[in-house]
Amino acid sequence: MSAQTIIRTEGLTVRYGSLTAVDSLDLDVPEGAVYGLVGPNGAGKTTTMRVLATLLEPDEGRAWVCEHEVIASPREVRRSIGYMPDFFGVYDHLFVWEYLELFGELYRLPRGKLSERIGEVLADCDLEVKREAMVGGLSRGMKQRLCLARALLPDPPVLILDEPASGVDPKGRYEIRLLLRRLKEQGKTILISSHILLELAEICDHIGIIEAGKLRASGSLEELVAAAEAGRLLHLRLVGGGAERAAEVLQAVEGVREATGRGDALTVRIPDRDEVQAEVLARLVGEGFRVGYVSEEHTNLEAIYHRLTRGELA
Amino acid sequence: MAAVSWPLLRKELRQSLRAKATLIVENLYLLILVALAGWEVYASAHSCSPRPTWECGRTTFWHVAQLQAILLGLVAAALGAAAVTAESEQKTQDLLLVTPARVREIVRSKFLAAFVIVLVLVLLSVPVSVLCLLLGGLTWQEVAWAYLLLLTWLALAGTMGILTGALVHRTIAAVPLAIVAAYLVTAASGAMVENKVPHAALGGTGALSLLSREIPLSFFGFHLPVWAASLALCIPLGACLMESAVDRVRLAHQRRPIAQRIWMLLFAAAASALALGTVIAQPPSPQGPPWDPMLGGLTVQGVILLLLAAIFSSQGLGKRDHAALRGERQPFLHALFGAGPRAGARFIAVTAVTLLAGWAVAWPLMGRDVGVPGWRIALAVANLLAGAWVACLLGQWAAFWGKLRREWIRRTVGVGMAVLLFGGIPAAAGIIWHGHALPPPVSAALLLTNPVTGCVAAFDPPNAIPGSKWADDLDRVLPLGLYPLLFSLLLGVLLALALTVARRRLRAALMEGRPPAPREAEAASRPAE
Repeated sequence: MSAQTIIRTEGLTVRYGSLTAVDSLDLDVPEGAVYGLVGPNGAGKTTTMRVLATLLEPDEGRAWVCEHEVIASPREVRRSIGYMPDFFGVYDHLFVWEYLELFGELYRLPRGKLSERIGEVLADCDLEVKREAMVGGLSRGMKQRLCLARALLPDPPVLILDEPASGVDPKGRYEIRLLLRRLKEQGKTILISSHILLELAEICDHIGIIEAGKLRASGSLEELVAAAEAGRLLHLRLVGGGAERAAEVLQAVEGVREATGRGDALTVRIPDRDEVQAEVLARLVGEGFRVGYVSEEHTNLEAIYHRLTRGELA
Repeated sequence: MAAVSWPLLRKELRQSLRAKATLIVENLYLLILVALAGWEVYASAHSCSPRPTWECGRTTFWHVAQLQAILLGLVAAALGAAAVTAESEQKTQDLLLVTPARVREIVRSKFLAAFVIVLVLVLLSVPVSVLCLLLGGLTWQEVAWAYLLLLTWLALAGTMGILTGALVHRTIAAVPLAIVAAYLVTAASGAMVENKVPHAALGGTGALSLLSREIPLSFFGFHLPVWAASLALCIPLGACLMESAVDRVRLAHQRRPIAQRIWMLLFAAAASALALGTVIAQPPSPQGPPWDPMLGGLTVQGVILLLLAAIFSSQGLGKRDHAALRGERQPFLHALFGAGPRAGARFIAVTAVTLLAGWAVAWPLMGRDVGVPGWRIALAVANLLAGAWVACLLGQWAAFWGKLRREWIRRTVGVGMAVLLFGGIPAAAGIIWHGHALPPPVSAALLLTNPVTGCVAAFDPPNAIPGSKWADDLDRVLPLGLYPLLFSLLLGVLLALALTVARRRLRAALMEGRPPAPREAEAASRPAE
């Protein structure tokens, strides 16, 4: 395993009966990265995370966290990770501080520093005022943040967060994003899954697109844009119509990947380069088309995701 | 290494004591105790022939103790089961498992938390017991032994609940199952008292009845204290159940059932020794044949042996079994001789421990002529060994079939069939033996096919089925005990053939890299993404 890679899987395969949930997955998460795992329901995200959290035994392949193999050294792996599942497991009859104290003691944190550490994670998760509240009385979003606080409690180098923002209101999501940024600045490696792609794009510096248990694409957002060959999408309105003929004209322009027109609406897909865009506009004006409106649509994670996945389920 | 996770124990107690149900149960229980004690005193004072005060105190004490054994046994089992299933249902089990705490610590903490709650309920009865002691008729030793027996039984019931919770996952199913299991054990132990069967000491009411009626178990010519028998049975069995629960909570690749097997072997040894020792030590009844105690001991030992052989051999197949299977060349021979890389060793261990422990105790007690030729005794033992071999093959067949199809098949078939075939039928054999003959075809089927009834036939062919002409005719052709032996051998060969097919299929699946069996629990509770 390379020195920079902190989470790695090699040919990871998990089956549920005849269903292959994760199929020969090779994953590399660099140290200090925020790695977003994207995929539809049933793609194998949660299963992968459960294997990495030592909760599920793979049928084939191997996985390492912080250079510890998850099957051979599960206890070492557990000491290195903070795991937050996609549901909030809490004990309703405990106070917030009791809940955190329980897990702090289970993680063998020194008793003298435990109270201070609980205060820190509660402050990080904006739950200080709820320290003396019963867990059962917390709102859904607060329980979610309490779960995150629990995962942060042992101050692990790696965080595995499965849908941390699901069921949280917009303000809560914003706070979780801020918190994740802070954790990233502290040098934590975060493996995170989410359905909300735009959110992931804001937080993550690496993205893995998983579908039907297979990793379709992986890399930084820029690398994925290049891999998807998605580029830039131009929306133009031609005064006086003739978009069909304009599309035929633009097919001949070097760099234009796709051009479609109907009535006065023209859509052109080009590489993410200003020179090509300038050439397109010049050719249209040169051919006598009157361009009344131009808008650009840069490729985002959602576009890449739809381009790279085929809607398959595991 | 801590045996218990104290933070988790504290959490469990906090949760339990904050629940309203705990307060209600405690008050209700106290009410029942006071009502029972009050009724005893009232009935004594107002009966036609008033009893002396000391007798009233004594009766009240034993009634309260037995009521506690029944009620609190059920409570302990229910609390144990709920403690485990609650984690699954609250989805907190995963959170505990990803901490550095060991699974054994987690499960033990659950058990201890349930036990502490029950202990509080037991302590509520102390004032009633002190009152009974003051009324006279009781010694403090009797009270101490009664509490020791009660706590031993409650601990066993708690482990039964813990295992049920680990197996079933849902509170709504686990709690009733645990309650039924605890009830059956304590009810059966109570029912065994009249026959002085030492296994009565396994359950609360049985042990307490023996103590209260002052019926000592004779053992090595001494009167074996009931508490000693109870501890000898309950400790290994409880530890075995606990280890089984720990193993169920672990991931498949982390399972190490060695501790569970050792405890089970210790239980088998204790049960076998107590069964043979106490039965053989009894003087033969003037009405019965001189070999009656020996046959009784053999029958009890046979049932233990057959059940354990089936349970041990039906345990799941691990990676070492798979590796050995890949290189297998003679599947039929492997199937025939104990059927597996490790199953053979387990079979030998179970057989050796059960037989040796029993006979090591029973042999010195055999200082009398039992009136049966040696070859008939050998035939009886051969029947038991053949039956254990069949049970082993049955368990292995279930293990392979479960691996090929569904895991529940293994558990259901392996243990269920063994209980049905080798547990239920000897019970019927007992009915025959005591003269309550079943319809002739049923009697014949039992006598000629079951290894335990084979023991009976080997000892006393003419009286195996009293008044049966066909039994006499058959015995003239071949000794009657030989028929069940031959049947067991034939059944074993057939099972070995079936096992060979299963072994070949599993080997083919492993060689092709196909998944041999669906994942167990995860398939049902697969997390939705």
